[in-house]
Amino acid sequence: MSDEKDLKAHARRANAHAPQHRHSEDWPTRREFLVRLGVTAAVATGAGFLWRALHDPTGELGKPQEPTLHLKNFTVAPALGAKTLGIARGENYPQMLKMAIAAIGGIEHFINKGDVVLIKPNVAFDRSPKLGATSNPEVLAALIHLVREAGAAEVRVADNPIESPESCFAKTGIGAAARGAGAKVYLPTPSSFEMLAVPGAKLIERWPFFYTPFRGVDKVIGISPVKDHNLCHASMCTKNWYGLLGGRRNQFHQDIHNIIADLALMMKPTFVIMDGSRVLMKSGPTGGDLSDVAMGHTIVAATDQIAADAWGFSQLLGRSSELPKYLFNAQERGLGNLDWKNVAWKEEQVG
Amino acid sequence: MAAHPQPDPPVFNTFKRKVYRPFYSFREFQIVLVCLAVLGAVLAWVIWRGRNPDPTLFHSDDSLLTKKEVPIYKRPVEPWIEPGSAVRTTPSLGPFPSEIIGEGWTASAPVGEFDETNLYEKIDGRETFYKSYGFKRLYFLGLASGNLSIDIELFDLGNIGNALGALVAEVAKPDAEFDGLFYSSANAGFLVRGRYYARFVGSDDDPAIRQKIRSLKDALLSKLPDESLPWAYALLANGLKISPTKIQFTPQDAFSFDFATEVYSAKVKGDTEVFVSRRADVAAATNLAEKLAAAFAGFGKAVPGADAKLFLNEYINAVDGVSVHEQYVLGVRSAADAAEAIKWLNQLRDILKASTVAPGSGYE
Repeated sequence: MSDEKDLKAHARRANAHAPQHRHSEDWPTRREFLVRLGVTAAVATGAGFLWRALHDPTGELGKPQEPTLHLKNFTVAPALGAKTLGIARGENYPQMLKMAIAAIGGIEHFINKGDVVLIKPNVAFDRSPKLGATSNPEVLAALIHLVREAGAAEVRVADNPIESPESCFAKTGIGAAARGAGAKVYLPTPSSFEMLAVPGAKLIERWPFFYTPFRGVDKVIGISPVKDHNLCHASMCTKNWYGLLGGRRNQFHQDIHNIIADLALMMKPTFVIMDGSRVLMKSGPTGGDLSDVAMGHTIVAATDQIAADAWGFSQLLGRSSELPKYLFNAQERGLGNLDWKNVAWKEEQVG
Repeated sequence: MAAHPQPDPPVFNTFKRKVYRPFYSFREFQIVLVCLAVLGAVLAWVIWRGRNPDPTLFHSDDSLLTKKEVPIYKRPVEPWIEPGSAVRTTPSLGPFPSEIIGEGWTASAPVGEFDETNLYEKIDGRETFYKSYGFKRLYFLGLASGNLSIDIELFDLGNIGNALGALVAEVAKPDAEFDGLFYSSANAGFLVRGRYYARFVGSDDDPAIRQKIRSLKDALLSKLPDESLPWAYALLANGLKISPTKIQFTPQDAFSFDFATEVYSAKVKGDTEVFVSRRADVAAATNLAEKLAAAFAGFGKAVPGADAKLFLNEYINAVDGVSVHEQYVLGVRSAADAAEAIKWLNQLRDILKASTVAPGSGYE
């Protein structure tokens, strides 16, 4: 206690001798004052900027950003007098394809000499092609020949199936048909996917996309089967693009109508082929029973995939019920016209 | 004038050491600046190359695989085949009996197993159908014989009610003819055995496939355990003489009403359909019946119906009705008129009163 008193007394004595005012010669000059003030302000401002640059309360900014790609618009300006839908009926697939595509402008209108063309069939399941769950390999081969005859430098065929890609491409006959017709087949590998940006999409604004086969591609053609679907009632041209998504895409089945509308936004193809050679009328999308498959004997070429889907729903699947909701969603977003009766279309019988 | 105070003792340099080199030459400063500039340039180049990689690094040209100078390790893709054995695979066949492969056929891969977390990897887009029927597990086996193949999909759906429900929903053809709980078509077969629902999907319409599917059916019938049919089959199959394969079990959203669960229904005459549902007690049954009545009323107007609540569906000009007997909800849809609706409802009630659903009747 006494030590504390001594210390306090000592401090009081020391303070009594302390200078009450600093001498003017110790004061900083105006220049020194301004320099110190400037340095202090600069340091404070710099610290503020540094804080702002490093401020990352969620930790998200620290993560490395994946490069994001944008898919270009592969559409071609319509030819004079061309229809939106070209419908060919018959059994001669090469002739039917020619006729259907001629109605929408002709293959030469869409494919230029030297083009690299990607064709996207539906190879989702490792099923025999006769079961109607996948694109018909004969129609695909005929399409590849047609595109090559038009002068394409390279034709690629790609899909990201649900089951084992090797098995799906083998069992559906699509791998052999594509290679036999002179196309290059791209199977997905983990490094084939890149982050794709789809501005305006509700579910896939940024999503892994099967991008490798799209490098350097000039034109894109979809060729899809026509089939019943357990969740969205029908899987046709627009739903076909689902096969280009990667990641945990199955979660989109919770909101299937919006994802299909997003797919229409994501992919603006040069044109689409609706392969109605066989139609899976029920138990889709997997099927399995030949008695669920009807011979449709139809091929449709279209520059409006929404109009094509609307046509296929009523004319090939024979559904008199209201069109699937995803077609309405897509139309509301300006991605097509589901009122196929009011678009220009032409139907022809082959043979 | 007061004397200058002594300078404060140094705070950090308490030992009063001299700074080694208080000044540096301008040349040294310039060298440091150059070094920093070089380091900065190297850093900038590394970052730029990271963001702009050489595209050839990502080029996977197939021709690379065919260049002779590139040694490629080829793993043995074929499993060892015991000489003289028809079975190509030795791993477990899961619930499948060993005779399922048989003479002339080979398994193209070991049995694949899928549960509800990865079913989408096999049947994305259709998995919700099986999940709505109590899906537990899928066993998959592919068989091949020359150009022909058969996929065997064996679904464990928990109980025979779910299995039958899935079968009838998938084979919803008015003219479908069943052999017991087995249906076959030109290339496919569908079988219910106990809690299992099996699909045999052949690649083509071929006699060898049809013969193999019949043998697959026999093999599974001998191996898989059977179960008693659910209570509703006693009512509808025994009482009304309806084939079990015509009775539709809808676990949820029956008639598109989200409150209608666990409903068994069957067409009895033309478009007329009867349905039953068993609830936990009378109060629950009454509650469901009232909801159904309110829903039916939305399509038309009430008509007299004795104990039952009947409604004329003004869109299709047919009568829908519902009544309650103990814990059972009994109903009829699309009857031609009120008299027919009452007739079916009374018949259902009489069968229930006769206790056809008694223990030991072969039904649960």
